[in-house]
Amino acid sequence: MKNLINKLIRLLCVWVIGMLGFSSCEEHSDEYGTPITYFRYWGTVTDEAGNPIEGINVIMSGNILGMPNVQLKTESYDGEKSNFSTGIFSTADTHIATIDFVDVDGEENGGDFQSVTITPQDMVQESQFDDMPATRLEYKATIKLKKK
Amino acid sequence: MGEQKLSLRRRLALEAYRVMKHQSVKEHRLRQLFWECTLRCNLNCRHCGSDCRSEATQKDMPLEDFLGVLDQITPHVNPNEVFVIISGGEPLMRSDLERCGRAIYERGFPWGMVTNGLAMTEKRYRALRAAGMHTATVSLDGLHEEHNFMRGHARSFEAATNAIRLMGADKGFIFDVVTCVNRRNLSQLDGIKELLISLGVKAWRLFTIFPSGRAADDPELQLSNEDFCRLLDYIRKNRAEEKRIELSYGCEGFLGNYEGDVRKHFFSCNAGVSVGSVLVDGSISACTSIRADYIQGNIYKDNFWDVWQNRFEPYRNREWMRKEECADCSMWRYCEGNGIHLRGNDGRLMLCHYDRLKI
Ligand code: SF4
Ligand code: SF4
Repeated sequence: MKNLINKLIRLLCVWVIGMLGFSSCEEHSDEYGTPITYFRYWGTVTDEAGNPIEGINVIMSGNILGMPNVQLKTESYDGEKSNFSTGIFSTADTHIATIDFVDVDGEENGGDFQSVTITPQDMVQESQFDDMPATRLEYKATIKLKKK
Repeated sequence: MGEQKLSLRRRLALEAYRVMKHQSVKEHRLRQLFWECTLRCNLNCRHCGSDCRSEATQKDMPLEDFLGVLDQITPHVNPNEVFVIISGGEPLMRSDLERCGRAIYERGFPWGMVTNGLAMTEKRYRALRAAGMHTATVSLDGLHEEHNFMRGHARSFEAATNAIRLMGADKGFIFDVVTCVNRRNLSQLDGIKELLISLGVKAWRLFTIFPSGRAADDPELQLSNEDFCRLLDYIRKNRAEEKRIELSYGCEGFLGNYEGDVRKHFFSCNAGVSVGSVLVDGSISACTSIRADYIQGNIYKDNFWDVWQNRFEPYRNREWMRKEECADCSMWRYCEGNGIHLRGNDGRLMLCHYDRLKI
């Protein structure tokens, strides 16, 4: 609860600062040291008919040049509303992240769906905060999963 | 004290930012971890605030010792969200840098480095990228002669621009260039900007001389207050109009009515709030630019995570800085005594940026 209140206060401050014509994002990047970027990937996951499905995991991985694929984050998404949102600081190259959508509950919740893997290139770049490339980039995707 | 009256719009935004800042202090989420991996350096810069020498008496820190720190941190954070910044000295002096980078990355921590570029070759750059290097900061202090003068090396300009070119050509690699603005290069800023754009640079950070280390008594390096304002005007104008590259002023200093116009964010010193460091001798501190004794522990005696969670009091409660010129300063609310790196061992303030705006 306390965390939620803090988060709301923070969002309110970001909003006030923005309304006053200054730039600010919720997670502020430090300007000492090397530049940091925040990437956010979001969108919806449904079955082919557009119905929300539960029991899907959203896994973000990075594959940097010769490095093995490293799992960066797993976010289970909000099945009821079919929204997913995942983000990471500082991935230097959006073209190397992949996002997997994996059915983890088999036949339950509407059937067993095939996994899908996308990269940011398959997504639509929605917005870029702080008006330059090096700060916060948002990508959106609409995913429809097919039954196995 | 500076007399500029803050506009109401700016004051309201600063108040909102202050609330966010205090929340960050309470949470003190570790976001950037510096590793001073060596004090060896291949240059002898006029403005260096660090203790480095070409033949440092202090040995490089063994990689395994730093990895031990990462292992202490890992259970408490999402490693993907803590950024390791390898600094020095000059990190490229370490022949095992690629091995270090890879080991850090294999633990899930993204990393970047701060470099002068002198020892960067294409082969090395590729190897560092393959070792998971996510970002870098390269220093460039002027066009040719001025850069070499500052760096004390005849080939340093060529090497730095080559390193920048490699990064600029690497699509998707996010990096920036920092320039220490001084009397000699102030008039060259447009020339430097065009050069950087031609090399593929998208972000350019400018800062002024650090009043300690080798630069403290070098009059050629210190900007007058008028020139300092000129620099801020230049950054402000470019931020508003220049779409090819983003300029910003370094993180130090509360800047009165320039706040919000010359950086992405308002001033706050994040040392010990989101920035921690492991120095070459194992000391646990915050920014590596803090040279005075604000050390909170040592990795050879203490657990880094315990220190991060339970010490760092002088960083998180800055009331002790509220003395002398800061005691009755009307900007204390927003500034809280400037960056910690501007405090000496005795806690005294070495420089007030806001005061420099009074001309
Ligand atoms: S450094 Fe001290 S005197 Fe200067 S603006 Fe900040 S609080 Fe005021
Ligand atoms: S100590 Fe100095 S360099 Fe570090 S965050 Fe504070 S102002 Fe910036």
